[in-house]
Amino acid sequence: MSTTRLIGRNTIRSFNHITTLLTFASKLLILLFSRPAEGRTLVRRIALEQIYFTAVQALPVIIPVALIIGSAIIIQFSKLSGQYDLGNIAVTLIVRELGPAITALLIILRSATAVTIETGYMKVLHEIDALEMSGINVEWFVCIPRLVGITTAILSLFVVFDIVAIIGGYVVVWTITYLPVGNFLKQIAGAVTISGIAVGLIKAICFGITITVTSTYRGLQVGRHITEIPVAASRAAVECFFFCLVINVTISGLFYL
Amino acid sequence: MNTMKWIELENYSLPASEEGGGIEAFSFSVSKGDICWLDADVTADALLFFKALATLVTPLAGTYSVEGKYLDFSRPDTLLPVKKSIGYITTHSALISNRSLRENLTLMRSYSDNTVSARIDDNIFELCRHFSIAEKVDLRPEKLEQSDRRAAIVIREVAKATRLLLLEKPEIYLGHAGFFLYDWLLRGLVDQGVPMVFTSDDKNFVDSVSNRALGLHNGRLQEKDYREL
Repeated sequence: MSTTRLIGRNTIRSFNHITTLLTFASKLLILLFSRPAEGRTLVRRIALEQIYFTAVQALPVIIPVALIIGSAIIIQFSKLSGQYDLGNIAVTLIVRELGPAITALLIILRSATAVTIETGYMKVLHEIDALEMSGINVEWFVCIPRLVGITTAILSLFVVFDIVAIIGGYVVVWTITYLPVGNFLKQIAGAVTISGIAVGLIKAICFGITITVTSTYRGLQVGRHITEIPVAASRAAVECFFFCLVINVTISGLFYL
Repeated sequence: MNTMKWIELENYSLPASEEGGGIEAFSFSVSKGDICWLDADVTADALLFFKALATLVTPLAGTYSVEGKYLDFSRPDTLLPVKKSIGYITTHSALISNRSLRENLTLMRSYSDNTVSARIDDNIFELCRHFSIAEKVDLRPEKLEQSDRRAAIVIREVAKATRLLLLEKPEIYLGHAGFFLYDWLLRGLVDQGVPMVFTSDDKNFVDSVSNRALGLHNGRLQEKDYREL
């Protein structure tokens, strides 16, 4: 009985949490498209700063990761299948699945936790109140630049990851091994389709929105104690990763099943 | 002397916080020229009252009207113009830590005028000079002493063209050395008729500026007879 009650209570709690996040997401999207006149220049500047922090500063991390993963996949599948369909396999795995998922994971590790911690600190140190007392809409000033910045950064990093993983991986394998990868680039050109690129872009946009909404929401939910911040950051990271995996599978299912 | 009530709270009750026990239903109004001293037994309750006046707390019950218009707490964006016109100088007031002092002082103007210009207005810069922070305006708050940070908060809040000023213990807010300047600044605002609500343990300051007194004891807010002070 108590187990049933526990499962029921947790289910209701999770459902409530997801509906709250969806409400918050819709609120932010409405705000984004309504584009209030006040503070637009400042919001644009903060969004650019966010793109720099999330995309440009992540390049030294994402490029080696993409190279390693791209090389590993090409090595494994070239051994497994010879030259047969290697490009198609690489595109399917990297562009459709691994690219968006690993980019999202790196953004979660680097930026989602940082955003949660930053907004959490702003809450604890009464900076959110200070913004409000200056007549500043916190969702417009704090959340929207991060939404735009992180989503743009994921899109850009996703493209970087795919190119580095496929081309860079090919170059690495071609340079240091004797594996048969001769027709690889030709096969890739044949395997890349508009729908494949569209799916990657849709995933990147959904991941950007999910990561920003979850991390800023968790940050703004912090109360008055500094000890709540690590808890919020940890929860935000785990939730972001879980939601991104669910979105990844759902979008793949919708397009490819 | 008092004409229209600028702010009026009716049957307003506030939730308990972690430190304080909340405030039972009360009614309170402020008009131009009102300088209210708040005598509270619990600091957290005094801060809660300030937060309520600053519309930072959603009430459990009651109405809040500004110049006769009721505020809708279910739409937080509609509260922003009211918040903007209230100076809030308490231990819970803060600067934005990832912005320089200059950006903090110009943030409100940059936001409302939609610019990124960080030029500090002459009158504000003059105040910065008075409070000896003019040379530090390009530093971030963490590089400054607490008294400098608080001086910046005072300048920012006073420069808001404030229609109500909420002050927590002005005699200690900037330290003993800063009080002389703070006192001078506040008296200038008193002369302009800017309404204030403040807490203070400095009897001389209270006697010399206030014309109303409020008691906040055991979660009950009551107007005191000023002559009994």
